[in-house]
Amino acid sequence: MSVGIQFEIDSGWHIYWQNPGDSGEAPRLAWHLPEGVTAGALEWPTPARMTTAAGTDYGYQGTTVLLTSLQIPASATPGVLPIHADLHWLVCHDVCLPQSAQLSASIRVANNEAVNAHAGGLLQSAAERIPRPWPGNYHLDAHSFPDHFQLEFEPAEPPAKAEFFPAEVEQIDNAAPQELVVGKEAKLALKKSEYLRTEPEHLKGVLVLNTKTAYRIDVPVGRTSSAGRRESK
Amino acid sequence: MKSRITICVLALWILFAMAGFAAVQVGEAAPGFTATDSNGHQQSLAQYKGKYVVLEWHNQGCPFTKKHYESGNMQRLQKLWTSRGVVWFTVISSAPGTQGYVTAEQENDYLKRVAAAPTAVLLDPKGDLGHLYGAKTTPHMFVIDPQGRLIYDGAIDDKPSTDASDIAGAKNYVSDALQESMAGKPVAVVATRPYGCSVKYGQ
Repeated sequence: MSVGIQFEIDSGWHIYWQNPGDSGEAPRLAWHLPEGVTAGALEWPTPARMTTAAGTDYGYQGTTVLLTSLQIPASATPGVLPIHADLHWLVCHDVCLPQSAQLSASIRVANNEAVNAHAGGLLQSAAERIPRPWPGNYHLDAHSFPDHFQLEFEPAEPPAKAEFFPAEVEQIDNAAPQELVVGKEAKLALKKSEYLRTEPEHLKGVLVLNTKTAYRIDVPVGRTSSAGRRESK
Repeated sequence: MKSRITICVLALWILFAMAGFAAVQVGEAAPGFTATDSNGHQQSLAQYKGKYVVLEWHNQGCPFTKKHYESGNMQRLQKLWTSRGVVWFTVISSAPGTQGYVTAEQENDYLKRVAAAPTAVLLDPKGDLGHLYGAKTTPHMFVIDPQGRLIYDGAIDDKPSTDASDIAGAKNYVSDALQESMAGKPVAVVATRPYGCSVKYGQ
């Protein structure tokens, strides 16, 4: 079953993505769940890029919902399951305030199906803001050059704009412009971070095309030219 | 389930300025500077040639800075290393009207209150020293060796969080750099991504 945690953030303030960028801190969530119930990884909506005097951060403004899923064992007896979570997050404007909350909710277990009458609309609109997987039939590749990575891809339509958000810290220079060249395929150049110490095996993150369609990507980084082109699976 | 969290905070002012950092390079000469400390004395890097110098960018209101001061971690590091002859400069580059900006008197009160023990606190409200070193966050740490070479630039430790319980298991890069260099060994980790609040530079 899906669980959403909704932040309503005052105008002008922001919270952070899983990779906060040059400053800040991602929200941290610790579950306290009944025996047998497990929580999946957090699913993060597409972040926004925020640039200040000191660097570039990734995060959210306005109403933001983080999603996850809970696995309820088939053996759960009908009744009410209490779930709790400790949430810590940092909210920043030009100053940052650490916040925390203890969250509680009840799940009604009926006929071995978890049912919650309230959540439908919220969860559905939240799910629409989670990046979708890269379509397997479209080419996507990554290459490492001395000072930059290059994402090469053939989307359904040539993109006028492309933007990559790195899931990992210390891979790309957050503040550097990302140069897009569109020919037979699109090439997006990502300047390497000054803190990159070892070449990553994969580039993971979110690729946003034409400022509207966001894809979750995880692409092996090739160290040779694009001669031996790989199709993404 | 729907957990609503409403964050109510007082809106302050917005500051935007263009980033323009002169990058310092580990292994090369640390750029010289002269700055006024919170006791009104002039402090220059040149006068401490022959000693190790630590620079600690600071903002007393920043949750990441608070993590290291409310736990006593930063004071412990200051006492430990200054007792071994290291010069420790806390640097405040917050512009007037921004978080962390303090007058000399306010800073001296703060030092007493939290029992901090740097060699001196350099007041840098124009951000000159911050921009010279490319200080990005509070904290952001630099270590300079007795020959005046920069030997470390980056985070205080390897746990980028505001959670004080992370300190116990963290690898402290500043102590490691000082220890290794004093033992005549190469510094293993010379540069990391600093973590914390953005430095509150003026326009």
